[in-house]
Amino acid sequence: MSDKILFICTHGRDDAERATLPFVAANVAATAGQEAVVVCTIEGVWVGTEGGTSGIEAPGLPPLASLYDEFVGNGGTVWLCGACTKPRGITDEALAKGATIVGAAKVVEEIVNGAKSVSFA
Amino acid sequence: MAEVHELDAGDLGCGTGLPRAFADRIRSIPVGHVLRTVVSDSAAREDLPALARMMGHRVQAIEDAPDGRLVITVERAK
Repeated sequence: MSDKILFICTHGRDDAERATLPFVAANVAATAGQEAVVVCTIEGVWVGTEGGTSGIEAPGLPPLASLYDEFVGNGGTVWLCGACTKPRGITDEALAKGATIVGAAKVVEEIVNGAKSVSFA
Repeated sequence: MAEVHELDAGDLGCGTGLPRAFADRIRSIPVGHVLRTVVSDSAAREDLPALARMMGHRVQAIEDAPDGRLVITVERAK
């Protein structure tokens, strides 16, 4: 049984608001003691790389860099879609703290085992 | 001792055919035998065991080969 909550993040530098919002919600979950994971896909995978959050800040929202650090400090984890990191040349050596490259089966298994997911279109 | 079969998955990954290649290969070996998959895609460390578990098989080991690739050993359980 999985108690995880998966927050889907599909954007990075291309859309600061959409990149940040999943981390806002995930950080609330982590702060509340929930097992929170941000699942980054498409351009969102850059967020989980070293320096990938720098300069990303949407009006009315905290800078993504500090939010990311707070989230990971609260026990949150970040999964990067392997099918998205590969064509972008992102390898394990480039990952930020708390980030792991995973494949679709990992996400599917969590959902099958009862994890819940939240997405921000 | 269960017979061990090999799958050299090269640089296949989640989006480039690794799940299909693994599924086809493990279905081709008898129940109780072991499939040793060698793959360079680091995402397979989390992904292939998850796929194997969902298919009802037993993950025996996830190891780092000296050449940097991953070796994932799975027993066909059904």
